[in-house]
Amino acid sequence: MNCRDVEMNSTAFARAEMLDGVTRDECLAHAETCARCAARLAGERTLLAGFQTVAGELAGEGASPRVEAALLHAFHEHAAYGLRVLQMPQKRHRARWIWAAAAAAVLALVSTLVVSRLNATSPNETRQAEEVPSGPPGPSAPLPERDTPSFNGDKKIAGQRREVNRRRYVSQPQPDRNEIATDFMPLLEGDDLASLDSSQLVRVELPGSALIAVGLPVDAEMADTPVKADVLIGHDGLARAIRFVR
Amino acid sequence: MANSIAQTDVELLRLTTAGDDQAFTALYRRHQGQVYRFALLMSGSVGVAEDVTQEVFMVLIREAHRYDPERGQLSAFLYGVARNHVLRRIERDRSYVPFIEESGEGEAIPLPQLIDRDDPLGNFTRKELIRLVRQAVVALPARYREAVVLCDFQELSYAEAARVLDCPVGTVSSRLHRGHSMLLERLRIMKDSDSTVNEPSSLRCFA
Repeated sequence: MNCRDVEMNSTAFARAEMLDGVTRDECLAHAETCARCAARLAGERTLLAGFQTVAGELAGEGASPRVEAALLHAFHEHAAYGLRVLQMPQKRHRARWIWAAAAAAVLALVSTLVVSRLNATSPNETRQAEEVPSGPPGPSAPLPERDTPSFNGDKKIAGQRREVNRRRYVSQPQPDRNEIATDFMPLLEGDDLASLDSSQLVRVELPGSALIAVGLPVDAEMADTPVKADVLIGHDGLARAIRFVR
Repeated sequence: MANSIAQTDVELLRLTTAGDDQAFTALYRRHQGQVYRFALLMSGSVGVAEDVTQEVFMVLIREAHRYDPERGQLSAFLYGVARNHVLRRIERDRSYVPFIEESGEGEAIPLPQLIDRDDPLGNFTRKELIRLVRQAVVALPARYREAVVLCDFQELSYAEAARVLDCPVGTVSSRLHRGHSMLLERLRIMKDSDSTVNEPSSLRCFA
């Protein structure tokens, strides 16, 4: 072992870490014949003693009670804030986004189908997509009595019953007597269907998953089954409301 | 929380994230001392040490999910956070400057000065010794200082220090060695300047 080896091992020698017995003995043997290395090892030992003295002096040191108090205060605030803001609104936001995404998906699907249907319809078929005149419906266009507006038996869509709107928009095409239709459901959030000056009603077919998107309970098996729907198209060409027909 | 002493850090942390303030207090009291002392030795300032301690535990309050028990002990995580805050603080304050030029890591430096000076701390009283050692440590460049503080004062193994510093064990070893060499030179200079006032030529100041 030479001076450089001792130099490189001096710290480990003093700390007695990562130094095997053979290396340690060689360091000691070299230091007996080399004053420089002996001084280096002595310096390391002294340094280590100095570290231990300082560490002993600081052993009981810690942050003041003020820090603990401040942290506890912050902890309580964070816990309360976390419960109030981080949990509830996140869920609410998430639910709102899910509904918005579902509505957008239905809207896009319906619009696509309606446009393709309108483009593909023959002159005879276009009669079905009659324009609904503005103003209150006359006595010549009475609304046929239907006692089952809900698509799924006794399941009713809250807030969807609008007698005036129904009279106004559901005059054409009317469901067959054998058909059951839901109420019209607005596709745009907050949309006032009563404010429509004119509109068109178009019969389309959608996959069953479209019902799920608007919140109607549907069996998973029905997700791919086509369902009939009447779509109310505003004068701006946007699908404004939908009802499902069976 | 009477049995908090027996609970592991992971259990206390789980309770802390669930809003248990007693678990947080237990966790704080278990680890604040080492975090504080680390920051104190790194910065040389009680104020910085308290600020850093507070910041470290604020991280635990806000972002406890950042700690992954599979990557090591909580103490290592806390040291790592404390280290980042201390270095940021030092960088901002620029209060401390290295007293010796840095060279490549792991480079063995000759210390001929020590040949005829066998005990650089021999003539100091305990109080002076503590002051000088702390001053000398604070004056070390940060990379060597953190290795010295973790291994020599906090008594972490090389492997534990390597995890905190996010570097190989060999790097810790070489930084420690280099740090010791710098400290010995610094302490010798302090000793000389203490005994001989008129020897400015031996002092290298890079401030």
